[in-house]
Amino acid sequence: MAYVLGISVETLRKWQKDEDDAQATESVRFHRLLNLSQLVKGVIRPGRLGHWVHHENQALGRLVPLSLLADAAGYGMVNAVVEDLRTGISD
Amino acid sequence: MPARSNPLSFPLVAVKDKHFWRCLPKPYIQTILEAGPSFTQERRYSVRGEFGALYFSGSKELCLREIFGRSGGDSEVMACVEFAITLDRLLDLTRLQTRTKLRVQLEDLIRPRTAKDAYVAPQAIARRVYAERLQGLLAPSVHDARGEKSGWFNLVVYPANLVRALIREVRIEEIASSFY
Repeated sequence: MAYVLGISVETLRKWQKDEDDAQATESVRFHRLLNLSQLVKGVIRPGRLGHWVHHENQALGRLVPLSLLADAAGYGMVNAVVEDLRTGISD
Repeated sequence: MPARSNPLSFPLVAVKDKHFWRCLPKPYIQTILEAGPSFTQERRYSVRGEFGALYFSGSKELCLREIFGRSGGDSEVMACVEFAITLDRLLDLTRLQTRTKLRVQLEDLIRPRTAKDAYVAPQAIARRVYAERLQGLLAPSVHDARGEKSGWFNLVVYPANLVRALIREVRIEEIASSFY
């Protein structure tokens, strides 16, 4: 999960113990990524999720999915791409 | 595709036994003709909470191009289904004269999904097509807007309007919650 998030294992451990929610923004990204990891089941190969979220995506205007998870609108765009893959909706 | 006369202000076209494709991840192939997901999302030619659509491509190559653009080659195994489709009341947005009649520019229809207001013009047309109870529309693909490659366009079908030909509404009743 640390790799998929693009953070160190140490940072991930800090988040998990972050009772004061001091890392709120990153924590939100963490939870969005968790949600995304459920959404991509059957769509993105499990072993390729880390690669997929870290690389430029043509459908997202060459933005990197992981970087879009920082805000709700970006997360919505990533979700839409996954849903369109799942359901065959055209661009 | 021959143009057909109609009571509307824009020309319609028909497709007869014409082949179109849809590609889904293999685990979801049984849902290939479900339009439900498009009803819950804003998409180019369907509007969340108003009406859903089934999106087809005029060639398998276009389907695969769209998949690669989204997955970068990281997707599960995909299954592509080839359909033979016959419809007789379609709006053809690939035609310049149709777009001119609707006062819409090609560029308005093919903005990338990340662009601001990308779906405003297409959804406005889709609402009109749906309200006119047409079966769907042919649309230029964002991947080949000028239609230079054979079959690189999309077919958007509105299942509810197909069903309307088979089902007649008899009556609508409003019932306040106090009655149940």
